[in-house]
Amino acid sequence: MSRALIIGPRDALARSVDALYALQLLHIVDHRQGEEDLEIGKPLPAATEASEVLVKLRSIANVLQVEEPKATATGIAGPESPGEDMKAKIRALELNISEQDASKKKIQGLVADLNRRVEEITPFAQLPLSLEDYRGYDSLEVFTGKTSRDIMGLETVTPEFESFAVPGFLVVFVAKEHAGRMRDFLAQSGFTSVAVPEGREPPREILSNLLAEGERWEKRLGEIEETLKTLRERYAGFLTAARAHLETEVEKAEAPLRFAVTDHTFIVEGWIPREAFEKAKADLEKIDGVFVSEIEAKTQEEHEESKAEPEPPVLLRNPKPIKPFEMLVNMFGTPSYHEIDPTIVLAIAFPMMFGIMVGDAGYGILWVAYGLWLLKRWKNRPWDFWKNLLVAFIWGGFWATIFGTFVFAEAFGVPFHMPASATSLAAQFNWSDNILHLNIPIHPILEKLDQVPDFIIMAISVAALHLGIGFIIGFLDDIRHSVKHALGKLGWLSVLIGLYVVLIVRAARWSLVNGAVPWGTAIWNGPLVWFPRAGMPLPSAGFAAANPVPYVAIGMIVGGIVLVIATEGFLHLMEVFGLMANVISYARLAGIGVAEEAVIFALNVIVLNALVINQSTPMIILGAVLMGACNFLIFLLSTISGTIQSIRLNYVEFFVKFYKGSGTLFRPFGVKAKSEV
Amino acid sequence: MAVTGDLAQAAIAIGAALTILGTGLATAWAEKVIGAASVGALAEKPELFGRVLPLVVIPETIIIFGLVIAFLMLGTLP
Repeated sequence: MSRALIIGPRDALARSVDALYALQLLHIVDHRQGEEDLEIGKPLPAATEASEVLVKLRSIANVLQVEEPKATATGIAGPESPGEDMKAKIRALELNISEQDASKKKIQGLVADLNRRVEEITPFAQLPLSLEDYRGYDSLEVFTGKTSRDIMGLETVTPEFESFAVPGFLVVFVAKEHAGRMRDFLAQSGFTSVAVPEGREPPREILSNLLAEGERWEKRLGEIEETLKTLRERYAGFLTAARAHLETEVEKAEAPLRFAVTDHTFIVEGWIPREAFEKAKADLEKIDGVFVSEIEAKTQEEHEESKAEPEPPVLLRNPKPIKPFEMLVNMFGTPSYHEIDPTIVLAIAFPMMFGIMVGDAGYGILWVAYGLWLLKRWKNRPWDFWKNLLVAFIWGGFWATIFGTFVFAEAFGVPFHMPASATSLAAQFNWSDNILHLNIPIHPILEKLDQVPDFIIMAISVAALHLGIGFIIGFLDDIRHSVKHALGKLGWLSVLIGLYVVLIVRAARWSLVNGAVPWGTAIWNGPLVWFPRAGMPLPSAGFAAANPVPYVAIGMIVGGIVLVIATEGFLHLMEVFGLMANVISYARLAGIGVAEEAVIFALNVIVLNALVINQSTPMIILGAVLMGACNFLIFLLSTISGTIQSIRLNYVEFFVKFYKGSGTLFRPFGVKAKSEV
Repeated sequence: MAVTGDLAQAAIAIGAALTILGTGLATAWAEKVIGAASVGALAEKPELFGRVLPLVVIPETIIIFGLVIAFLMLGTLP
């Protein structure tokens, strides 16, 4: 990034803003009021009018319920001939629509009022009395009200009464001297008093009048809504385009608020990608009087000293196939300008771990095929959260296919070959003998259900590799500004390797499964064969004389801890246990892998036993359909847990080791902000 | 180190089951608390999703430990 300073005369301000907007190259650093004794600029004259029209437009869009347009990366093209014409059109439209909207609201109020009155009068209309009959007695008290249930035993209060009842409503006429007791009785029986409506006409007549009136207004309301709908259909496109255009105009017009100004000049400060600087300079200096200069970028040490100095924004540049993983990195935090972008490691580790957990060629191929198909369909869709995630899934599917084929040798929960431990006919079901009737030349390196300890060893090896890379990146990050911190990272790496070797040595003693060599032994005698073996037996912890804890491993752990304490402080001693927990945490790769395999295996065996083996053809077809459904369920489940667990390992275990993610994303003026999840 | 005797073997198997039970419950309880708080936070600020998701699944390490220990215990059975 180059730090650019653009200076020009104030009368060239509008043209400069236009040029900057079109360039889409400058990440503006906002000027603060009074900083270096310079005021901020005032919005261009166009701003007031444009914002006013924009407010009107938003209110119209709200009334018409026109959807907010989706922001795209490059901004939306305005209508063909904007300008005064468009603004006048919006004003006229606003007048028309606000009138319609006002009458709509008024009628809605009227209708609500009518409905309330209808509700009031309805029970009276069911009784054979006119409204006059409820009023004007000297010796009688009238109770009218709602009842929650039928009220019995009015005669227990007094025999001198008369009552009329319809379900949920009761009218009682009672002599004045008994009124008090009657009121108490009614109150206890769940009676709520209702006032008698005004009017002289028979309630039935009032009701029908009200209903007729209500109908008339409803009809009018329908007409207005129809009008609004027509308006929406006619103007939706115009409104969306006009809004995009106006938003651009407002953004441009308000840009001077981010500039510094003097009486006759304006000054813009910002960042331009280094290689685009010359082009930007040439373009901007075409405007009379505008001058672009590059501020000397500060060196690392100077930067460390002046903390107040703003960090340059970060523009991530990754090859296209792994670019979608930037989204996952940014979700955690944008890398700062002085940090190594971890996208490439994430782009390998995330789908790979997903692949280990799903570990099934069938599901893998399904994801690759479905993902590529969907990607083709989404060709014109902007690169939003889902599209980026889809690419991550395609990579995940790719790795799941690789692991499912060459390591676990299974597809859709059915192994390529008969598992050695299988006893029942259903458990023996496999691709080679029962489905394809040919001998697939690939045998499993690891059978999930029979070799769980081996699977865990594999997961822990992934942990050592993954965390090791994390510490190395951390070392490379730190060496540039602090050798001390870099040494701390080396200390951690040393602890990690020592820890891993101890775990492998211990696991190498695990008993043999089906006569095969356990993975612990295989790794100890294979990739780790160079490691010095001399060591200390520790029988109580399982380290016999045959496989003692190597001195070198103990040395690496102790030496690493000493280095960590020396460089990072005594408190970080606790973190050693944290690191141990982190390493064991990777066992989830095995845990999820085994769990999913166990579920799909169980489902397959149940269906095979019940519907397929020794059954008639229709039953076999039904069984196949059911197996498909079960597989689909596990396919979804394994995708969800695979994604969440894999992202967690990368965020919590991996990133925390070295990654700060405190940067700001490069957002050049003129590029619409992308909406992120 | 294989363990002999029916009772001893049964005790190991039950011990492994209890390990899974206890760590499973612990994970569920921890995630319940974090999950409820996270949903509250997300209702206010949906853009926190990326930060919240790893927090919710952090306690899952507990049951992973349980799983590993259970397998180590089962490994001592003949």
